Amino acid sequence: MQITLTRENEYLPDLAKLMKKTKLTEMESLFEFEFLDNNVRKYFTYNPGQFVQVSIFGVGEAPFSVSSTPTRPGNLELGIRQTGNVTDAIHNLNVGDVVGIRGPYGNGFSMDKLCGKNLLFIAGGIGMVPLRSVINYIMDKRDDYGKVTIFYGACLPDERVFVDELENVWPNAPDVEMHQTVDECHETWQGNVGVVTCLFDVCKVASENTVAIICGPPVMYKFVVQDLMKLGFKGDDILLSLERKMQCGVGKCAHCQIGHKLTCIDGPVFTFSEVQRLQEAI
Amino acid sequence: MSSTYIMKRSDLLKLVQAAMDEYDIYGPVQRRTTWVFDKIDDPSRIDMDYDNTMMSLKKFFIPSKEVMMRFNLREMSIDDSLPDVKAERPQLLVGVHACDIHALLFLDRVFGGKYVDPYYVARRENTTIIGLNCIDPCKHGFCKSVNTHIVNEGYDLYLTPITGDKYYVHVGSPKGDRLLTIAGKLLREATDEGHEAFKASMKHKHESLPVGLHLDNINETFDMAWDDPIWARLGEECMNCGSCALVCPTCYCYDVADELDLSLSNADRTRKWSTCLYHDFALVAGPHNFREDPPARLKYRFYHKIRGALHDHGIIACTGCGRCIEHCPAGISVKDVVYELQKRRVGVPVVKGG
Repeated sequence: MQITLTRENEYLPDLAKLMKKTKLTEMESLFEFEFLDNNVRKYFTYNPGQFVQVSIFGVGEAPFSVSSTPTRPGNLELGIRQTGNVTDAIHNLNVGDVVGIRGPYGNGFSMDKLCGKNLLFIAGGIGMVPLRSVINYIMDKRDDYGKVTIFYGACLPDERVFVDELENVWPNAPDVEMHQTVDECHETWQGNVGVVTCLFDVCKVASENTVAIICGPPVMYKFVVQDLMKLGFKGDDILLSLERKMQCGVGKCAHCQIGHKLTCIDGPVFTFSEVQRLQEAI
Repeated sequence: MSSTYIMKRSDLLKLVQAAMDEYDIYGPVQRRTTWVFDKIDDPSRIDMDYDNTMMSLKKFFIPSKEVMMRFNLREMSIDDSLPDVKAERPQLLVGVHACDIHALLFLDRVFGGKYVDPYYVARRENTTIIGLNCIDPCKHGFCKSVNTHIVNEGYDLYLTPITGDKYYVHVGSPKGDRLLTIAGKLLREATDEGHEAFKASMKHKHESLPVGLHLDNINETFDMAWDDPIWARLGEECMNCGSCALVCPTCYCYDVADELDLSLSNADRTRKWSTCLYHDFALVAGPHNFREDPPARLKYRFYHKIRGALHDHGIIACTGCGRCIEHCPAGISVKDVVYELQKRRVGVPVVKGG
C-alpha cells in the first residue's frame, strides 16, 4: 500500500542529495537521489509511470519521470536529458549537492491490472525513461506477468539509454524478447535500421491477452498505434504515457491540460481509447 | 427560518466605517471610464451602482504575482510564505456581484480537491464578502444565460436593493454574523413589509435580466464542434493578447519561476498569472510546442473553460460577467460563440439578445 505523507503545503519540496551520477549518452545522465529526511526516505514510494518535481533552488522546477522501480527500495533514479535551464543545472550538479523533490504525482501504470498479461513495450529515445521503471518492476515480479516483448528505437546507436540493460540484462531474463532499431546506420551497428515501427516486421506480436505500453516522442504515437490496431489491439489495451508542460504537478496551473483532462492528475498514462476522445492528445 | 434584515442604503457607509478597525476593506470605485475594486479608506468612495469592474476579485486570492517560498542557497533551506499569508489582515470585500461570487465558488473547486492550494485557501478563509444582488442588467453581462444570477452560498452578507433606498440583507455565514455585530443598530430585523419589498425586487430582477443562450447539452456541443469552421475564423481575429484571460474571474492558470537576488544567495519562487493564449503556454523542452498555432490556443481556451471545467468540476468556468467581451480588442464575444455553436448543434429555443 502506498502511504502518503500528508502535508499542509504540497508545493514545498523535500530536500534530497545527489548520490550518484551516471552518464547514459552525450545528452542524458542517470541521477540517483536520496532524501535527507528519514521519514520521507522511509515512506516515499511510487508507481511505475509516476513523476516527481525536481527543484534547483534559484533556477526552477521541472517534472521528471522516475526510472527506478519501487521493488528496489533505495535511491530514486531519474534519467534526465540536458535540454533547458533546469536540466542544465541538474547536469551541473556534483555528487553530494542538494536539490528539492516533491511527489510522486500522476497516475502511473496500474501494475495490478496488468498481472497475468503479456506485455509489449514500445519506447522511442528517452521514452525508455519511464518504461524502464515498469520493465524492472516486472523483472522483479516475473511470475506475475506473461511474456514480455520490448521494442526500442533511437535515432543513433549512441543515443540509446540504459544500454547495459538493453544489451545484457533484459534479453537474458526469462521469457523476454528484445528488439532494437536505430534511424541512422553506423558502421559499428549490426542491428536493425529504421523507425521503431519497422520492428513489427522483425517480430510477430500477438494481440491476444497482450497490453502494449508506449512512450516516446510525440510523432511516434500515431504510427505505432496504427500498426497495433492492424494487429488487432483494442484501444483499451494500448497504454500511452504522454508528455506536457507542467508547473505545479497537482492540477492547479493548467499547463498540462489536454482537451478536458489534466496530464498531471488524470495521466500521464492514458489508454488509447481515452486519447481518442481527447482532441489534440497525439 | 433564519432572520433577514433591513438596512438603509446610506448606512452601508457607516457599516464600512465601523468595520475598518478589523478589516482591510475593498470595494467598487469609479476610475476614469470603468470601475475597480480598490482599497477603501474613505467609505464615500464606494459606488454601489457600479456596472462592472475591469479586473475581477481573483486578484485578492491569487495575486498577479506572489512569492510562494524563499530559498537560502547557502544553507539550502526553504522559507515558506504561507505563514505570512495567514498573518495578513482580514479583508472585507464590499459590493460583490453574483457572477463574481460564482467565480469564487468555481476557484474554490480548482484550488481545493485532492491537493489543496494553501495560499488560496488561507486568503479565502481570511476574507469576508458582502455581496450585492444586481436587480438590473449590466452592459455586457449575461449571467442569467449561464445561471449565475442567483447565489445560494458564497457570501457572508448579501444585499438586495429594495424600495425606499434600503437593502434587504441575508446572512450567509458566521463571518456574516460578525458583521451583524459590528453593524449593531444599523440593521433591524425584516418585517413583512421588507419581505414583500424583497419579493418585488426579485420579480423586477427576473423580468429585467435577459436570457440570450442556454447550456443544454453544452458538453455534447463542444465534443461535436472540434472541427467547426468557427475556430479558424476566430483564430484569425484573435490576437492572442490574453486580455480575456487576465480579466476573467475564473481564469487561474499560472507560471512558476525562481528569481535570484543580486547576492545570488537567495531566491524567490514566484508564481504569476499566465494565459493559455501565450505562445509558450504548452511549450516543452526540445523544443516542442503542443499548441504552436494561435488558433489552437484560442480554441483550447474555450474548450478548457467549458468542456474541461465541466469534466473537472461539474460546472462551466464562465460566469457570464461579460468582462472578456468588454475588453477583447478583436471584439470576440464568448456569448456569441457559445450561442452560435449551440444553435448549430442542438438548436436554440431562446431569442438572441441580451
